[in-house]
Amino acid sequence: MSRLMLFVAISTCLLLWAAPADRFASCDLVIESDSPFSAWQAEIRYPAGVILTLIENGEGAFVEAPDYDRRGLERGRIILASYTLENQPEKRLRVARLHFLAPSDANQEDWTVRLTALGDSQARRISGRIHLKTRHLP
Amino acid sequence: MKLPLFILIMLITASCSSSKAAVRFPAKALPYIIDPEDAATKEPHGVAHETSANKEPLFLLPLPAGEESGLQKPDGSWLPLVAEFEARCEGPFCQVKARLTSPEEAGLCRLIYRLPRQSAVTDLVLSCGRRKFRAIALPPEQIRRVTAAANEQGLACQILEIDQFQRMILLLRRDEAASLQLDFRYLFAASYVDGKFHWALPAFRGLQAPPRLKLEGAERDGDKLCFSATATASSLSWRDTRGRGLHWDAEGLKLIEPNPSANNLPVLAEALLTALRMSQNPGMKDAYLEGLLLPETGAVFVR
Repeated sequence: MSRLMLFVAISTCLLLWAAPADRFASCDLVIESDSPFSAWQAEIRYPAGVILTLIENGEGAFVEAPDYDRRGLERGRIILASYTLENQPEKRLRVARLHFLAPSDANQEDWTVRLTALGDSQARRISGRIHLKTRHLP
Repeated sequence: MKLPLFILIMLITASCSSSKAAVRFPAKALPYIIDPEDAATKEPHGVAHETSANKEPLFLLPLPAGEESGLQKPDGSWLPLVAEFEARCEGPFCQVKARLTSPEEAGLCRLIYRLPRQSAVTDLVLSCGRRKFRAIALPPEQIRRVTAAANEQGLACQILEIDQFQRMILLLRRDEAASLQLDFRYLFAASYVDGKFHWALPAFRGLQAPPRLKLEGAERDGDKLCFSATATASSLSWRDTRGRGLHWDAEGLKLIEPNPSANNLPVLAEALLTALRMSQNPGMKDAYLEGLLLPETGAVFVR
């Protein structure tokens, strides 16, 4: 009986010690375009175990926190979009910051982002690139 | 030989357990009393509400309800949390402003906002200075995990509970807690069946006539679109002569697009630039909404 208790206690300790701790982090969405842009939409896929907690606003004219599509919010996937009615002269801008909780052993390479729409202030489709940069908090 | 080893293991186990202990708060309610239901019915145009000691307190800081508000310092004493407080409700739109007394000591705090009966928050944005955060609705199991991690690490997070619509929970990072502003929108639920709310829009209660709608900001080459409007108890729809329009119900505001292939950027841009001003409606007299369409799902958001 005592051996069983000893085994259970050791197993519990090992499990608690070996389990990767969760930690908060954030990632920036940066859009680059050849011309100023006023509207964007992106799809982000993130690894299992990650919990998105907040969506923060971007820089410049993107002062409002981006909207997210609740119907598009599935496990491991979120669709974000935002726009501005102000003139946005910048061609490269951080448009949003995602805050999330992730296991400490989560890998940044498991994240993918796809720019699904980009438009200028005259509602014309323009081309651009989007980057995702993860920042782990201390 | 076995006994010292067993004691050692028990000590390790105890230390692991204590590091995950939840933050506890004693019981005392703040004297701030806001009644959004009154705002939506008696004062539909919105005023800043006075506090009253006779009403049930609707703001408690922090959780859990019934326990004392304030924040515990390392010596065990408690800090008053809020120095200034202002709330304004206008129809389904609420705004709460608060300044915390000791932001450097604020740490994690929790805010409960009790909504009117049978209502639910549909959107919540927290502003701390120039930074704005939109909450993501989470299922309960994820809320527990995030809350536990936040309590341990003292980092920022904000949670909107989706299974307990009567309250929202906010956790603040200590260096961003000097002042905050919450903007949120809620809707009344007519009933709760099979785990889903069925909605009735408060903005159109008592509506005597279909709202007169004027579309602004969607002008393209000087062509201003005009929508006809119909209203029911639980939804509103507008369609133009081409069959295109907007539908607003429990799921939110959606674009009605007869031609699915038109779900491309011009449609997106048109919805992006759409601003609806509603008149002849006491609850929404001064509301100004901007639409945002996500073409993949057809969902439209409003501000």
